[in-house]
Amino acid sequence: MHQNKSQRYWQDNLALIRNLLLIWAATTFGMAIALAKFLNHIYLGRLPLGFWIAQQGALLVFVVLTFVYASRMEALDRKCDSKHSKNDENN
Amino acid sequence: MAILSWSQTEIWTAIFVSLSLLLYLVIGWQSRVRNSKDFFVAGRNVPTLANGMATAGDWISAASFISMAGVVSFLGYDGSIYLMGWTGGYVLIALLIAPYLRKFGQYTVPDFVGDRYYSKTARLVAVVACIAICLVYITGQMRGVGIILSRFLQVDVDTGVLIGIILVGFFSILGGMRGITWTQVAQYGVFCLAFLIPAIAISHQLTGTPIPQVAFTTSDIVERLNQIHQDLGFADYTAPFAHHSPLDMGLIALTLMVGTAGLPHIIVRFYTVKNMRSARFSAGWALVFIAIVYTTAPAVAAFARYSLITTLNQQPIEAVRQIDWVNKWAATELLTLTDKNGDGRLELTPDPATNEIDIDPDAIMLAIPEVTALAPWITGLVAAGGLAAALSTAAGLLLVISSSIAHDVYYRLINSAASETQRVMVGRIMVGVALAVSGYLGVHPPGFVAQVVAFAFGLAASSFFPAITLGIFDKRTNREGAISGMVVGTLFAAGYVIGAKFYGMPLWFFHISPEGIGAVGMGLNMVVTLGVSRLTAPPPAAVQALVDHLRMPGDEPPRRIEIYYSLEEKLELQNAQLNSLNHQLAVEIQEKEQAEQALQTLTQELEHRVQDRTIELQQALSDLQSMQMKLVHTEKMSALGNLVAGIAHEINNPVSFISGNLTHLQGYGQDLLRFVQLYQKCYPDPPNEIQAEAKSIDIDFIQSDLPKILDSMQLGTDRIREIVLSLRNFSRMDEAEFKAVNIHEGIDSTLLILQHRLKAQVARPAIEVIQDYGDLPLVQCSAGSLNQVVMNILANAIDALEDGNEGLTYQDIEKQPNQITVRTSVIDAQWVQIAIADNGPGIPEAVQKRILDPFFTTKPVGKGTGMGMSISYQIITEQHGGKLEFMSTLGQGTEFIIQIPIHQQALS
Repeated sequence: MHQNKSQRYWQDNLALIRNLLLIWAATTFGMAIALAKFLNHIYLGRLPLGFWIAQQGALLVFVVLTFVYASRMEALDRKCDSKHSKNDENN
Repeated sequence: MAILSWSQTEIWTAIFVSLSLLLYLVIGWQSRVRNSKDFFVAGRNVPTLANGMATAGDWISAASFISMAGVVSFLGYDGSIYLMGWTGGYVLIALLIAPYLRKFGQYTVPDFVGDRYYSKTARLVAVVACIAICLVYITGQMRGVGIILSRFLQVDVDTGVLIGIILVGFFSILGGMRGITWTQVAQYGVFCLAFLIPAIAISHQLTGTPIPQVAFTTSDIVERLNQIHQDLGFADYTAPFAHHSPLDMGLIALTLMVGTAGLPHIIVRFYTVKNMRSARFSAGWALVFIAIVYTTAPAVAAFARYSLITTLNQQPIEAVRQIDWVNKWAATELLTLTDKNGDGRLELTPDPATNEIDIDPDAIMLAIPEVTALAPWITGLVAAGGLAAALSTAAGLLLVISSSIAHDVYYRLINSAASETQRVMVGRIMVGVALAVSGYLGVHPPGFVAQVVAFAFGLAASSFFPAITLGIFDKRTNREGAISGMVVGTLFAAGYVIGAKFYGMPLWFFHISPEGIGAVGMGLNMVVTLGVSRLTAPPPAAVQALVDHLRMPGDEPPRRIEIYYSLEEKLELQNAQLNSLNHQLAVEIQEKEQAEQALQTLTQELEHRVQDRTIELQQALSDLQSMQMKLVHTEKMSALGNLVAGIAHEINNPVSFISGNLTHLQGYGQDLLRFVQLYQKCYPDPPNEIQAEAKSIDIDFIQSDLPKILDSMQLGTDRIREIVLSLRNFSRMDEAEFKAVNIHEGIDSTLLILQHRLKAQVARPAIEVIQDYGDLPLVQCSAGSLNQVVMNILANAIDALEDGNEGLTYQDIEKQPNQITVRTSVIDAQWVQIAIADNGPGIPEAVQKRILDPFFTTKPVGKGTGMGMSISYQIITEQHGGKLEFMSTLGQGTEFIIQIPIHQQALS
């Protein structure tokens, strides 16, 4: 039972990491490099979007990603904690 | 005098630099440490936000601070790889490394590698990589410190380096990680301000918008810059891939990111926070603080480039040479102006052969305040900022070098019995050694160092990053895999960089530039690690358990791997085992004690019961004894009563004769006397015979004495009769039935019986009896019993008085005569009271309590039975339903009070 809980926690963690790293890679290698030329035809303010993402946007995305991970993991930890305590009560 | 010759800029610089240095020294002194936990990991209690800020301080180096904007400015779009590469790595740190390393909870990166790959070789490889990375890095920092100090304090570079060494040494050696952490926080604050203030100033000056990021996005500066680029034949500033191919850009960005995530001086910072949660969030905060600077940098880059080009391009060279800052920077050879075509104007072109303006990227940030004619104090602030950035990074790197040697080599591999103090001492010495080495390298920089800073990232990317992440995310990765992966990856990356940089090796791997090869090395490392691991034996169970533990929720650190237990830790482990045994023993002992206690309780209970029984038995026995005593007494009294009654009766008859005849005898006597007197009168001269006879019997005396004798006899017989009456009265005690009697009669007869004790004796005068009788009705009572009680109390009173007389002379007693007061009264319609008081010495407190106990006596053995008062009490309370009380005051006397109901029926 306890084993399953830990495995579940790890699986959830892995899924979260995978999703966030996908966004991370898509931003860095996709939008800021591979699609740069294409995105540069679009403008954000008076800057080409590709350029803006590469020099500003990507950094903001990184900040958001780390905080999303930290707070989601906090929630997951709490969930796990409460499950543990519930189990303990049942025992 | 020298100060007077300083320019305003120099004065401001001196002020800012000195103030900030003073701040660091104070912080360093405040946070000095003693134990190894504080020295290496700041006691693991750095607050989340502070760690984020310190990490940003740690991370942003002098190179970053000074060159970042310049590099971006030169590279345009392609400069983004540095912006993204040096921030994106924190996502990897937050997601893949920091929380697990924190949970692992040791001191260094080699700690993790050594434990996870259960190998001293792996640890040693990690130590070597660590030191190599940090030395490469720190050399640049020390050089940066030297340049800034020399530039702004007007000393030569070598002196600047020396000053830098002393400063960094002070707070690193004294404060260890703790000192470094808090100085880094302060240093971040200083250089962040130093970076933002000129950025805001230039932004405001060029666009009217003070926020650089906003100005960058909304103003037309970048558009104009693009236009200038087009006019001059450059690619657009915003156009990608002018300098690097997309693949190259991707790989460089990846190398920088992964390298960041593998840089030991960054990841050890996450050992210093409280828990995993704090590690994740502080990575986020670090990124926020870094992003504040790094999103400002591209704006500064664009603005600076625009300013420079418009100030210099197409301007007459002579006019430009008049500009103050141009001269200054030209002197440092960071700015080179050559009129190659001799037309008297400067021209900026993409072709180095015709380009006449050559600016080193390093000059841009430092020159901005002057180029844009900002206030002189801003220049001073920028200098202080550059110094802060250099010092903070240098300190972080120094600590890693020191801990790699002091902790990983000295403590873990050489002397595992080293004490806490020894470890800190070696740590401090190693900081000193590392300082000396990096100082030397700063003063005499080897030619390659500047070019291979990228090598640090490549090395970190191709060694640590795969080793750490696979160690956490792939349980199957074993020692063989990790070591061969690190070796292959590092050798590949190092070989490629060195070959390309120094031996003109063609970029044979897809034309990847040396900066980007770390990512390939990392990939190679991972492939080799995974492959070799699958081909060799899986890691031991203990290591797999370690990995499992790291993956579980909760902050409990895992157990160390056995082979790495130092002597001290082995002792600790044994201690822990002993402790648990001890605990078990303690529990057993407790259980036994509890059992024993239960037994004792039972025994006690048993004893209590026995005691209770014994008391009951004793009570019964004493009841029995008192009963027996009473019976005996009653028997005795009844026998005595019978005897007295018999004697009284028997005496009564003869006394009646005597008393009855005595009256006649008196009459006859008087008659005879009168007759004799008549004779004497009628015959005054009797014959001689008669005269002789009269003389011989002394007739005159007889005549006078006879009546007296008779009177005295009368008195005696009266007294006998009284006594007999009293005896009969008294002997009515055997009459058990209740009769209405005159109590006063009983008292009187009792007093009479005791007369012989009351009357005067040799040693004392008579005891005075005061009879204060009230008007009592006849009281229904057992007269005999009541008499017995009164007798008892009176006898005790006499005893008490006689006791009190002891030691007093006859005269003394006469002065204060012994008294017994008998007082009777009616309380109400139901009750009468008899009070008998003496003025004796009183009854002591202790005796008072026991006075009614059976067999209690104060009299000598044989004189008292101890039953008197007890029986009296029973007679009054039980037989008559009355009350017997007494009051006694020492020295003043005792008073017994008997209260009995007048009518017994009324009560029953």
